[in-house]
Amino acid sequence: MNQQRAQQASPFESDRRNFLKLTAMAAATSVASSTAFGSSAFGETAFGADSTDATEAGASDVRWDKAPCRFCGTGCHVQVGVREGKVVAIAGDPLAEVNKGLLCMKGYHVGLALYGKDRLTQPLLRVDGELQPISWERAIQIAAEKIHAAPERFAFYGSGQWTIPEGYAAQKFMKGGLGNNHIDPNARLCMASAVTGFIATYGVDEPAGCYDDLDQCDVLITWGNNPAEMHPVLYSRVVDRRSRGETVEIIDISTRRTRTTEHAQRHLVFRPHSDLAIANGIAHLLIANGNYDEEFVNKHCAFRAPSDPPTLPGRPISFDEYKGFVAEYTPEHVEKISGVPADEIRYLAALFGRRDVKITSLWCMGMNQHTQGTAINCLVHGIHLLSGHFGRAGDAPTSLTGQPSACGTVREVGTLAHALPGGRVVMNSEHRAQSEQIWNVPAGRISPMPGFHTVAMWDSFCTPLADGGKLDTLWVQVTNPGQTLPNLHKLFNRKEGLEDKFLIVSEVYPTATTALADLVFPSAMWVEKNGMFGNSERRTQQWFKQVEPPGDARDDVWQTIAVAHRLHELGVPGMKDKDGRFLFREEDSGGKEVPIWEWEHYYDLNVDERLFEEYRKFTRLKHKDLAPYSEYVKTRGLRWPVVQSDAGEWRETRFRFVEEQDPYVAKGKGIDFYHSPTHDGRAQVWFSPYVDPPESPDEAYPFWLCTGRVIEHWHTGTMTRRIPQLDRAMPRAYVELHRADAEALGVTSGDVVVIESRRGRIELPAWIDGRGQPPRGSVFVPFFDESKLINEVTLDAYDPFSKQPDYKKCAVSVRKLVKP
Amino acid sequence: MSVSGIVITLGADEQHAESALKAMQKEQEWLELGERSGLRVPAVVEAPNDPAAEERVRMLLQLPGVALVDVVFVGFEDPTLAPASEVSSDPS
Repeated sequence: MNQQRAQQASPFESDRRNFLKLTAMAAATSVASSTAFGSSAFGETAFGADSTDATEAGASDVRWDKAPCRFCGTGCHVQVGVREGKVVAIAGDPLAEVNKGLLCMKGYHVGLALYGKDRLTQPLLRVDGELQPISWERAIQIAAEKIHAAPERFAFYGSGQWTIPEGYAAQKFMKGGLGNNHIDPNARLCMASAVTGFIATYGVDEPAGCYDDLDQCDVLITWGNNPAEMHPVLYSRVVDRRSRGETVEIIDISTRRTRTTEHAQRHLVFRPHSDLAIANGIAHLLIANGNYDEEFVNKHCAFRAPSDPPTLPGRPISFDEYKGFVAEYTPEHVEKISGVPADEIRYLAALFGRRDVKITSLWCMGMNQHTQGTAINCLVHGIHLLSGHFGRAGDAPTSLTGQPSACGTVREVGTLAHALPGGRVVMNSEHRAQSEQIWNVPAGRISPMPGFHTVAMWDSFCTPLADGGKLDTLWVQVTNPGQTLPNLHKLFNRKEGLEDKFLIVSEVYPTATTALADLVFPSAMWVEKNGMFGNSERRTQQWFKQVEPPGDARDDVWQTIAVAHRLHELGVPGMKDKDGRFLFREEDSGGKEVPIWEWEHYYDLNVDERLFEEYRKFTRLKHKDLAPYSEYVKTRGLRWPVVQSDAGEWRETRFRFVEEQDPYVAKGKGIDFYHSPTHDGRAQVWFSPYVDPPESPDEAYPFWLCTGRVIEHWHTGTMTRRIPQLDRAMPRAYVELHRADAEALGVTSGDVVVIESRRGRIELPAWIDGRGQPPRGSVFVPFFDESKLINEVTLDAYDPFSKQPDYKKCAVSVRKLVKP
Repeated sequence: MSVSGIVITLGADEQHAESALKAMQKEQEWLELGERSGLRVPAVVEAPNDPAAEERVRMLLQLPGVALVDVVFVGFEDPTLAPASEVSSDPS
């Protein structure tokens, strides 16, 4: 340490440093002694044996409390240290089953995300091209008037970063209030194909397994997935097993070499889009070799194939028809399509044919951001079902999410254009009636027509009304579509200069989206507000507000309710329930209405808890039961369905559809897919053929472009680029090139190259033999860098069922920038 | 001043692990080692500023016998660590 500085330090500074050292050592000791994934041992928190409540750290004035990390969908818990109203320390939480005290480099810096110097602290209105400060009163009035003018032309765009109460409030405001289904999340861009895959296979969304599978599997297959960078704590959980002498084989099936590959025994590089052929090839060999699990299939599976016209349920087929369809996918045929050697296909098929190993498949954007995303999701589920690698700990097909509450909010609250909370859909009259009853709104309030999905929403918003655009006002919360939408020139940049369009953005920092906003609401973030997230393994998590937001920044839930109340004052009938009361009416214990639309009264009661308790009623309708809010206060999350035992305890579910694990599987059933699309307890094994991608390299655009993330930055970098440690570690975007391609182009590392597609161009420094290594004819660009918008180049083609665009492949040209 | 709590995971080769521990014990001016638990050693790294702390963690990682270094605690209340965005951020 700096001796001179230490000598000059005041006694107070010295005490503070010693305190920090003590707590740092306590945190490290706790993690070192307790980190044993797969065991039930848990450490204490660094600050007390049981930090289910805020923990006082001895004589220090630092107050500690729990919260899930703000970033990805893993759902790690952190301990947040607050002193004098500011977050001053972050530690991993040993009581959290997900991470047992470990965090990734983003997680342990998460507290700093609050303190970028350019936080938005007051409402802003664009006047003569410039954003000017205005009062909240005026900002709410302007937003309400815009919506009031044409409620049918209004849309709400959110994300998997909405907390559960935030998403629920937005959902109720739109579908239960305005009778308008134009609400969709950016999660449409990252995991919608996983949803349609689960529904088409099991009749109900979200993984049957959980992270415990990672502790139990003998083989981990990553399908187009790079968890070493995207979900590092989960990947550590697997790799760490080797340090304890356990054997776990990792097989990386991907389109480029990544950090995940470094720990894999086998790396299968496939041509973009050809993963469908690989999956069909495995299925073919399982049947041809006679080592599929016939008993499992006979008891628990049915078969399905695409229908004409295409529909999500498809059409039923027999086992023999299925066998005939996959027969075309011989190892040699698959090699021809995918480039993966035939012997590797044989190896995979033989592995799945073994009953003595447990296999977990993991995937995320690689399979989801795919114009055949639903199909490849179904095919991977199908391999597990066909081979019986399902229902035992360690045997699971599991999708991961990229956002902290993509599952909890988007998939469970249903903030999608077609959905209602609790697995309900707007097209179903019974579901609408259930929702109207819970919301106490008049029958017929909810529209049966799905609203605009993300791509259609932004296309319509960026199209002048005179040219057929159907939307004129759009409100964005907790996301940054100005950077994340594909084909940005078409789906976002066109908004600039359109007089009949009004963009409202709730944000914490200036972004590519606020750059075109007409009205900006400054938002509170993470522990500046109460919140709840739901992670990738069905785990619902809760935290309390721990510090005040800066300036005039306010909670997103409050913003929604404030606009709703202003619409109520303007006489919009949808803002009343069927008893004539305000849609979001809340009362104190004496039955007196609390004006939660007024900021000074918003925290008079716990609005999150009130909204959550109402939302819970939906969750029982499709066996996604949640416990009371108070139970989540006590824990680091619970995995649904959570049901109460006869003794009154709330019990979570690790593995769904499995007897003695899932409370909805009757004794003696073994495995029961109780939401089966065929209503007979069977899951669907799908056949879907390999089809060509919508755009492939050609003479003019000879390279494949793949986009994605890096370990240092989360999503669009809005938060992580304001954390100096992370920004220093990865300051700007780059393009990964294969060495042979670079040599052919006359490019060396650091040279600026031009990446161009039919939609746009971008200049980036080249990185050769870097962290990721694409094969010849392929390049990779991360999307975190606001100054290098790779999505001006990407394609907006999407999966026909999930409507999820494909960010993983389009055709581009690459050339060295020649300066004049 | 930067204070970080870290968990050092030693490699399976005990000889290398022992030599790594000896090397680390020589750095007591800025590195405090806790009680070893199997292959894991809790520790505290002090540094005058954050980049220096990152450099010290990198240095530990490069020691033969050290398999992993996980940072599990970061304190950042010191004004010298006050975060500042370098991102171009004109909201207009």
